[in-house]
Amino acid sequence: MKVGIIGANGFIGTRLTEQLYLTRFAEVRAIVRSYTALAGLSRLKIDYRIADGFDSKALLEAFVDCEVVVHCIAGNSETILGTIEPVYSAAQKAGVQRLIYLSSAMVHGQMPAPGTNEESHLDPRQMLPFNNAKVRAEKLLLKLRKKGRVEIVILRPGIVFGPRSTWIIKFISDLLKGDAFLINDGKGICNSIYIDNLIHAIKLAISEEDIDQNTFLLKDAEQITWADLYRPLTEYFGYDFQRITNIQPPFYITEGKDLLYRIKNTKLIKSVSSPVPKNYLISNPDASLSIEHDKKKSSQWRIPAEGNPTIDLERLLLYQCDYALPWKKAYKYLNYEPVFSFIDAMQRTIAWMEFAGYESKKKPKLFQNTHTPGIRIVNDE
Amino acid sequence: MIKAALIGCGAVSQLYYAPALHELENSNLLKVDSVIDPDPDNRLRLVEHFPDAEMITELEALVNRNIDIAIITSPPDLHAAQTISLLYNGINVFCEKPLSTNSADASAMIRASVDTKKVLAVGLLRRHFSSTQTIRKILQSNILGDLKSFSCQEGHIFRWPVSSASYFDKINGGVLLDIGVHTLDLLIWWLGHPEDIYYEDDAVNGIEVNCRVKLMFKNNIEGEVRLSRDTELQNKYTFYGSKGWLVWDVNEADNIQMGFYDFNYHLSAAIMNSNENSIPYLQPTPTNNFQQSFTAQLIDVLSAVKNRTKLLIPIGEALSSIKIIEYCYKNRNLIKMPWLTDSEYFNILRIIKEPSI
Repeated sequence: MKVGIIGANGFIGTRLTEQLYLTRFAEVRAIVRSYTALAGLSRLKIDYRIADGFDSKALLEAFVDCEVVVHCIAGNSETILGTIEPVYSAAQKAGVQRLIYLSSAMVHGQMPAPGTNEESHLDPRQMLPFNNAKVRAEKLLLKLRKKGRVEIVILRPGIVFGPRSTWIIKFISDLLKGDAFLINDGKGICNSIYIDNLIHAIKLAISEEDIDQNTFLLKDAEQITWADLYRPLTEYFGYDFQRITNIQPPFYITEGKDLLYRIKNTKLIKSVSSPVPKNYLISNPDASLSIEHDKKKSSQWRIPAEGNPTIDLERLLLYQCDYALPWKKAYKYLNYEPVFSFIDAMQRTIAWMEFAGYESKKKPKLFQNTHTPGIRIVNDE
Repeated sequence: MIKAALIGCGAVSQLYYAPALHELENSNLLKVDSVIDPDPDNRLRLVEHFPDAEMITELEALVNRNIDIAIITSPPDLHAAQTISLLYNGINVFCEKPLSTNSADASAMIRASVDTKKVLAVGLLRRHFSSTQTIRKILQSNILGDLKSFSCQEGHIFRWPVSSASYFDKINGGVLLDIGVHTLDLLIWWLGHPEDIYYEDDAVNGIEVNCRVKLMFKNNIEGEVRLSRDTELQNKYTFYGSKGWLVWDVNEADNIQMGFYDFNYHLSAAIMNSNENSIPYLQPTPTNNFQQSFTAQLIDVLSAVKNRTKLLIPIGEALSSIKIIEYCYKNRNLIKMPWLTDSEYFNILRIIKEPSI
């Protein structure tokens, strides 16, 4: 079986390409937008094609002989929405049997209501453009399927973490700058999924039968909090997790009346009518909301405090999530069961941090030294 | 005026050489006579900078144009043949790094330069930075105490605008040959020749995207070079002495940082010009930035061509880093990739041993 991976150079695409190739699960064709994007995959000798996700003609050529195509293209709203029709239409013309679309659990919002599952109503007018684009992309795909022949399987992973994940890299970067923050001591639920658990689900979506037009929420087996995710990363650097800036609601909205109107309907801001902030303001440059220290109080006489967290709306909401999304449907119809425990996943992630050049001051408690000597490839004869 | 030909009109020429050569034309130091590249689009992009330049497809066409110096920026596997041919046709050569993909070719290039008495220079830009020259002085002066160890980390998600997949062909090497040639050249220049080398990378029948070179220098100074094309590394070279430390942010041409372990403050220093004939601290003048250093390395070569002055980087010195790279490729180990499963590791070993699987 030949599997085309479009967006093969991204975080998920790279690991999927690597796994399918190295486990011989299928013949892999990496499809990327430019030659430059082949760099990360160039350590593997793989079949590749250059095709832009908006270019049906190039995509058609790229999809020839592929039985399954996995859509892993990431990007802004325009890219998320704009690549759906060209990809589906090219897949149809190329005779692809199944298109697997990497959507996101964010279609349910960053703070999904209790009881949310795959059948819940999707609101295309949420606060974050990413959520709306994914909602519309899913709807468009299902609409195209009604007229087309290519099967559709939609996967909605939660917070995908692991080596090279932006969630990990962003937190480490903030931590090292002194800008990391938590909300409510990191007690919010993190609907995490380790990258290899997601790859496992994608492999099932490639091979399982009778799953056309199905949507699957995907996450790890354990229910974890943001503190569970971030504490080991913090300890890796020898930092005290308790010293990370912790922000407690309520928040004070200073800009973006329209946004405020919409936020008011959420649980987060229900508390806003009660007293104002301590020393944080929320500002709204376009749709990316951020919290900053109160600039009015800045003075050249003030000795700067350590850290100055800037908080985006996405994390502001995610960190207050209090609902663990279900993965029962994936278990039932996709035979999905996470293959990596959260502890194992964190060990691998932390080991990757060492690979990525982050110097550990102190190994976190869950860390077990997995280092083995290098494997000699060529003997010096 | 010196007549120059630019051989290879890809990204490095468009982004770096064209503006530097343009500057030299404006200063009447040279004239770009011709540009050579098999790709017509690339040639056209370069001619935008040099409207009078002739667009040429074959190297042989240069022979009768009275060219003084050829600047070679073509893919590394072409460097040797092009350089040797040009030298024997009486044309001086400035060759972008790496001088060659292997030491045999590099030696042949150097021999050709000696035989023809023509200048052969290499584009190891970083040696032209005031920062790297200052680091050499500091390390030699024992300011940090006894040097103990070092760490050179350099890695980005690859964004270089390549125009074909051949850039990633094995013959042109991976990140070690591309970036490591700079790092190893600097380390040898700073610390001398390494006494022990251990190398590992992540190539699985392709080229290395990540690699690590562990090196031991004289006086038990040990450290590692970590390079990547898919991971944002710290992009710092750090030296640890018995009294203090020194950090160079990669490609900072005119800045370094230095500190002492028993002190709460450290220097983040801009490097200024010093001149025996003046009191430098009264009227400090900045040293070359990255772009100016690029121009300066070409001026260094032009001076060698015109006035027979010594090159800042004697060409023989370019051979050392290539020899180490060659040793690394011959003695490679598989780097530990902690996210891979056992079955993936097993298959990697099978694939490497039997590429046809």
